[in-house]
Amino acid sequence: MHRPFRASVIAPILAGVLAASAIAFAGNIGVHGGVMAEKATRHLRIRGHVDHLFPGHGRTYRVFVRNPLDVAVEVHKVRAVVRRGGGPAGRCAASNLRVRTWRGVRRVPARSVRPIRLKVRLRRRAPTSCWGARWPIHYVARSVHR
Amino acid sequence: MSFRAFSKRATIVSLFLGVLLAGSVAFAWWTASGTGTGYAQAATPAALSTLDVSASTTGDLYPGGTGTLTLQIHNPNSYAVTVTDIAAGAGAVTSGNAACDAANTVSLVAPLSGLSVNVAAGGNTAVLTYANAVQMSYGASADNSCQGKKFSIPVSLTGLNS
Repeated sequence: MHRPFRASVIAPILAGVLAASAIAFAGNIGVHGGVMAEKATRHLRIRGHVDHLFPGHGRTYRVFVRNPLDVAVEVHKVRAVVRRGGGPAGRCAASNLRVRTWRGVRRVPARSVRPIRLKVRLRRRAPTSCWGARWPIHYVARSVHR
Repeated sequence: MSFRAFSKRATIVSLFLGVLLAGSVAFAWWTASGTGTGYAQAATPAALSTLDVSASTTGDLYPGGTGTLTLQIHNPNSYAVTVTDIAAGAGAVTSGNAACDAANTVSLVAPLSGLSVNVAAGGNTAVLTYANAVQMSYGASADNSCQGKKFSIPVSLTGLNS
């Protein structure tokens, strides 16, 4: 009578711990070093910049998605997070620059690089302090293995 | 709660968490996130320039009178610009005659504002004319050496990208 009771208590706790570990693994949260550090270096890498922007005009530019994995991936979304910019004329708020999120399907073969086009626009009424300014951009991509 | 009921609930919870575990592992295996950095940079505007800014090309200036200002604007930028204001610029008005230049008789009557002159990217305007925009002063400063001269007038241009 006592033995099955213990099993019934331990089993869900064990399952809970395993589930939490799996969720942390999937989301890369709260884990540093070891296996996770190695995995982090194996994530997709995105690079891209654009220049010669001026107020009121949009441009399309390319960012390059590098797939260091041994399997192909399909990228479905690339989002750009713009930080506050600055330049010779002063600071310029990130809200003056709009980079549209890309959605689609772009296959990136294993250990290769593919471009994705993003649309960017500098606000028409951007202040003078935005002239010559540079905004750091952080890219985030979502993809699935193929 | 009886032991049987507790055991049943524990089994259901275990199954649920097991499914969650399997789903999370599958999600982790199936998806691949990516991050990176870059930047966007705004252009640094180049100053508009003038191909020719002169007055009295039709010989209409005389002491105490006003004349026509003519100019042609060049836009070296990779985007179109709309010029809205023309004002006196830094530097002296020149005529090519030292005595006349020393007399310093010609100037803009007043800044020209509220304009809307479009200048194409990397292009020039047509020759623009503004009647009664320049003046020649009276008196001793109106030197005879200024007769028949064409005056080059430095101007300051203000515009917006368009």
